[in-house]
Amino acid sequence: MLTGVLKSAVPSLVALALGLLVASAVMLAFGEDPVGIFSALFRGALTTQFGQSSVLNYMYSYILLALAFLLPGKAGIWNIGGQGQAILGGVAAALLVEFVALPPVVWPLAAIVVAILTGAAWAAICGLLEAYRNASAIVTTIMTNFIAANLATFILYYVLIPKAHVPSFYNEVDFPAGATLLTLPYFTTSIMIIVAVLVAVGTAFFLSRTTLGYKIRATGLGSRPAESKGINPRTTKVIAMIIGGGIAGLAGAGAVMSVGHGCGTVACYQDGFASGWFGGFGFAGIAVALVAVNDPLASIFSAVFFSILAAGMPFAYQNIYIVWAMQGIIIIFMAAPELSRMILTQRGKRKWT
Amino acid sequence: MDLTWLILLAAFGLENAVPIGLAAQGELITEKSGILNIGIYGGMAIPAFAAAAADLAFGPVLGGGSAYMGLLAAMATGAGLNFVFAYLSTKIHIDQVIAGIGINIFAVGITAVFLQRYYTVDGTPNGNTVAPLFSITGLAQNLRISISPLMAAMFLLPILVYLFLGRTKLGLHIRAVGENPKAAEAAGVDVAWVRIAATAIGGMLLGLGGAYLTVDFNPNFVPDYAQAIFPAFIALAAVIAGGWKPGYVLAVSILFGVTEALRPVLAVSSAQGYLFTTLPYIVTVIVLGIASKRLRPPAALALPYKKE
Repeated sequence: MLTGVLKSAVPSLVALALGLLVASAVMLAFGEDPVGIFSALFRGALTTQFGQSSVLNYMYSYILLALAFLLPGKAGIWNIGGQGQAILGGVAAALLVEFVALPPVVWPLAAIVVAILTGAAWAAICGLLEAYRNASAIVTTIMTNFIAANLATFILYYVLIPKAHVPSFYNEVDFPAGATLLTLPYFTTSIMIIVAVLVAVGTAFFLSRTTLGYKIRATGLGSRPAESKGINPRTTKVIAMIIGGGIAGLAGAGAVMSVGHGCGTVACYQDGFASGWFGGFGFAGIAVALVAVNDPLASIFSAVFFSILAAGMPFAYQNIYIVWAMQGIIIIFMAAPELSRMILTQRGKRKWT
Repeated sequence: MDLTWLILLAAFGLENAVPIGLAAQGELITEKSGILNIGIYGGMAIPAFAAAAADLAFGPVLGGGSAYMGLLAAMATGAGLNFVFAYLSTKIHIDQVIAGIGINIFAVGITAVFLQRYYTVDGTPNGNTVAPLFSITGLAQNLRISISPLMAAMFLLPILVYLFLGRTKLGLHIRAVGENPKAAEAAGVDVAWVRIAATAIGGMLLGLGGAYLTVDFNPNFVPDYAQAIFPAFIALAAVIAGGWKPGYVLAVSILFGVTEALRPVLAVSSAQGYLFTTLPYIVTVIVLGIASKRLRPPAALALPYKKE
């Protein structure tokens, strides 16, 4: 069984290695020392308190957005819209906190529920369009990402900032203390990482052990075989999108409600989601899911790798954009299992299938 | 009544439309062959950077003519990048959608890396720009509208694309492999290479659209990702909203360009401007939702084909 796991991890490891290799080649071409840079990266991310907190901060978003991509994917529907669903979830949480005052414990919980519902509703649009109007979610989720990002920025400047009476050049809204999430001891990050790992375990259980999870996987294998088993593939696809969107919405709530690294403000959300559309977490989440070969539990480990990269790069190299280039390369290699197979067979390791 | 603002709107709208229109015709050719190129942002951003770099490199040698080297560099990198993408997706059976996402993220990273290494984080210095074909003056006071060769190309291209797809052998093959690759294969068409050709030709036009942003409309490349994000994904939207027909795609591209030009006119505050930016995307989602049963996308779009 263990060798089976190892074997199935081979394409992922090859893709990661190739990503590191290409990045190193670029650094070498620039006359820089990749070994020194990467060791500084790992030292910074793993041995400093700031680095460790930063890793955890990236990790929960990566895990949740990977799940938001892979769960609808199991039903055969492409959710490239995790980014938009998370953004609107975060905005919805911020709106609730700013406009409705609730008792301490209920307040953040209510904000999280609103964020999940918003993300789910936003994803449902694309799910319904694909299931009932034959409009590919590949395209509609990309379009709705842009709608969400701009809508969120509008709400931030037009509603949230005036409400909080903060001069707009600060671009930020501070959350009241009672509405933020608990902070972990020692680390300057919230309990979201624990939530994210629990959601990943829950997703794995849901997909493999529940009737609905079975229906989702059956739909992913093809609409006609699913129908022959008495499953309605359309409804199932929409439900899978709704669950994925809800998970993305949860990530958005975490981003605005976590204290630490300047979070607990909408500004944090603004930097993380709306402005940096591509540096945004949605696409990193897709990379995490792909490297995990769409396995919820493996996503946790794959998220560790990407979080260390993202959190450690500022320690090592001023040219942090190389991380994005690397993510792109890794994604491309993950898209082609046959590519890594070719590379391996040329080295004579023909046993691996 | 003062018509100045209408003329301005048309002028700015057309300028906005050029990168959208050029890229959309390129994406159209690619999609007609059955390849959905989600990597359209990368297909514009990397050539846009190459155009600015070539422009700067040849500036001391060629003077103002260096902008044309920028255009050439952009078309070459666009075609090259898309060639690799299409080769991987048809011969190595890489997943088109995933590879496209990868190319987009890679483009953001690699252009920024090179920018920081060879220029500054804020962008390349200003280079030369393509000389306008002619200028229109006298429509309104102090108003001078320059018609760039690329704008002329935007209007000409749909006709060329229409003739290419409808009247040439390669064009017919492209449509055949986009509709029914199996039948095309049986008729002796090499599906993979026709798709690779269509994607590379499309890449040339994506590159041209990207170059408009860095050696024509602007004289430089700035790492403000909005610079190429806006036209790239709007172009993807325009292909769909235009129903995969070259003329309609041009019309929709201009419409989207004008919408963007309306933003500073109608939006009272900059915040409201963000709502305007969403319009083309909303239009596309609505078109897909309402007319998807009547739209005629290439039947084999985004479906990989494996020789038996």
